[in-house]
Amino acid sequence: MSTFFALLRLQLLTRYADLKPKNLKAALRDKRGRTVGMLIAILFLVVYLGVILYILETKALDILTPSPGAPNAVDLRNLVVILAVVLATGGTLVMAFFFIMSALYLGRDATFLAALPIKTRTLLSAKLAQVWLSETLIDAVILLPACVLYGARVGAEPLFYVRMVIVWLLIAILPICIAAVLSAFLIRLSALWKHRELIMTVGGIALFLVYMFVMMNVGSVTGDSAESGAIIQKFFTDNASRISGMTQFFPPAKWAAEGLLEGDWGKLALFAAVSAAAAAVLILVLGIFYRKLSLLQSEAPQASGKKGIQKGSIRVGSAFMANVKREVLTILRVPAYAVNILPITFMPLVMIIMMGMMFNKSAGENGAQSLTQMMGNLNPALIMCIMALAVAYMAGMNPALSTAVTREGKGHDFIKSLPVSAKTLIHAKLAVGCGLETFGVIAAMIAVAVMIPGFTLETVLALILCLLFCFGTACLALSRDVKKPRLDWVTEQEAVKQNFGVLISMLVSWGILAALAGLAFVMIHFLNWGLIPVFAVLAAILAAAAIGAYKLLMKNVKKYYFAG
Amino acid sequence: MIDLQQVTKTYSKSDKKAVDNLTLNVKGGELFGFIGPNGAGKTTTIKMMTGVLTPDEGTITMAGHRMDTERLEAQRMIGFVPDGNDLYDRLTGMEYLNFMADIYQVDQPKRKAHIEKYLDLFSLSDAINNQVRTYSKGMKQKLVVIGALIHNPPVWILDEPLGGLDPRAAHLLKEEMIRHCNEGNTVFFSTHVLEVAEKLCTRIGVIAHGGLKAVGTLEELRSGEVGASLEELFLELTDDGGEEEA
Repeated sequence: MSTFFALLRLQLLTRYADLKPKNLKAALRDKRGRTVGMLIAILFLVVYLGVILYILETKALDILTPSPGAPNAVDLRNLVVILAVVLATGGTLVMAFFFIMSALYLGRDATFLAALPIKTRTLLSAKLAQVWLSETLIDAVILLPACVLYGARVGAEPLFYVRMVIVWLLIAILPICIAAVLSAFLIRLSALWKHRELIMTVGGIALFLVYMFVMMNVGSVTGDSAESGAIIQKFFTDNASRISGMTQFFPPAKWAAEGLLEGDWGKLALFAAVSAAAAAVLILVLGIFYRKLSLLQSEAPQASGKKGIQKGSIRVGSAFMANVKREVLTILRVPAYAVNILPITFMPLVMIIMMGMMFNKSAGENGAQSLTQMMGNLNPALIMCIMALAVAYMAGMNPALSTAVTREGKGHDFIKSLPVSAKTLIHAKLAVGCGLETFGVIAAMIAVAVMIPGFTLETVLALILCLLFCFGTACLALSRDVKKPRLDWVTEQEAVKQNFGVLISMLVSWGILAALAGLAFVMIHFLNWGLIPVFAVLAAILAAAAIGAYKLLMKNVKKYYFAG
Repeated sequence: MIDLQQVTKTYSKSDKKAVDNLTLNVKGGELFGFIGPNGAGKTTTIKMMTGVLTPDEGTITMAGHRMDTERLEAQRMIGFVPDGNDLYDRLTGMEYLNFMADIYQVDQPKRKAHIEKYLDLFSLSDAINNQVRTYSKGMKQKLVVIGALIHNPPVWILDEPLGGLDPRAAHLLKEEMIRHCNEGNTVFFSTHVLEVAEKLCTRIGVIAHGGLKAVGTLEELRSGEVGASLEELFLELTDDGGEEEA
């Protein structure tokens, strides 16, 4: 086996070892419940995403199909495919950036691999191939269903599907090349400064926010609010020029979309040639610097320059606060933690601001009702529920608590050897995780209050519901991590990203939200209850659930945290 | 000071006892060396002594406090230096020491005096405001030692404490261990360096296959075999050792 394939195999085995048939079989034998649960959760997520995509795309195609009675109507069905190409390109750019940072520069195997007799370009190629494989799998979910549904609807020729496969296989290459250049630049820049992790954290978060902003600019419709066909129709007709414009902004996406839709093999060949050339140039040029760059992170950063005991540096505090401080410093100073936890903490705020801006801009352009006017026509109880649901949905994705014990890694035993009660340790984790969530939720609700004035009571009650929800789900997430932490990770990215507990906690919180939304719907729609009764019922249920979740957490702490 | 009574531990999904009916008593003023081949049960024993693992059977008492019923009090009596020191490498040295002092509730004057003394002793003052990840292996080990002893505990439990230390720092730590014992306290340490155990320890325990094969002073271990070195005794007592660390 060539060195390239040996390296690629090593990385794929490391990343996907759990999914090897042999390992799956062993896991089903030794840890049946956990493995079956994992497979069900993955299946659920795939089905969940698949159903949402299917509904959205089918509805979009229905709406965009020209009516037989309207001869002058414009056929906009191809926008669905163009949008899928844009989303796949943009999504790959962001996801590949974090993946490349982790795989190429932040892995702890950098020095080990550097000591082996491997050509730098071979190593770089193998690592990039791993990124390409993973991103292409994700792009399959974004691109293929849209193309297949479109092809079926327009009765596409077989060659359309051949072109679809070509575009799918190539679409990740250019974003990966761009992300590789960006990450190399960031790594080189960060090495110039002693607080290198801060630069990487800020750079990562900035890219995430730019991506969110660009994606929100495409339109203001999310999967959850896309129930109405009218909204989808409005979205596509209003954004037709923007969607097309985005492919103009990035010509290779335009070539891919036009090659795919119009059967223009010349443009498709151009797209393939540019992708291949970019990959070749990247490996050729980055190959010169990669070895040095990959080792930069393992070099000791510059010293602080401050020597000896500084005035005020010795401070007395409680064991609880000592652990809170340690948790906070670790989250802030480890880029993998900061990049995965902090943006999600503030995602509710960012999303609320962006959605509000888009809606008001759209309303201003089209002379439609503003958000405040539209809300004024709704039942106050419904307004409260919508506010709480939107914020809680995003808050439920925060991995701060679902990885709190896992993040201890090899230090877990050392923590257990300290004379601190398990309750204190867990309360410190809970305080940090809930503190972050509370901060994000309050910030989001303040944004809601500013953008939709006149609904103070509804906003305050929604905030209370959100806080109760966050505390309960935080206890459940931490409870699961106390019971089954993953302590054998090698890189911090594995601890916080490749963690099954994060997925489980997210699905559980969404499940709870779905049940509560159903209950709220019954109370508002069928029973015609007002704001206070609906709030009282939801708050009582959430408070009881939060107490139950806290008790479960403490039970698990007692049973598992110090269990030998 | 340290008392283990019939301690047994079997890991889940294993039918082999990692530690089997181990009884050991280490008194105040003793510098006790704990040696054994890889997989003998040293680390498991130390993990149980520090409260990290719970024994299946038996009791462990530290300075009069039982680990099963008074865990926190028992742990406060211990200063523990674990093997391997990849801990909190994003904190600065000073942040780490403050963390440890807060955990053990050391007041301001005492922690200041202790930190100053040991930073000076181990020549670590210049690096104390840098993140731990910038430290060499030896510097990390020094920091862990300072943190573990910050509350001046009566019992020191040190798992391979001299690994990574330069000769000067190793010498200083050995002197500190002897001084601590001379004050009536206890030092329990594991090592693979038999010469260190031979020269430093007042008593030595040899563990193999989870059981204590021999315990006593070097002379008692020799039991009349004049001239037998600790290495020869070790090889004889652990003849069929050599499995992986439990």
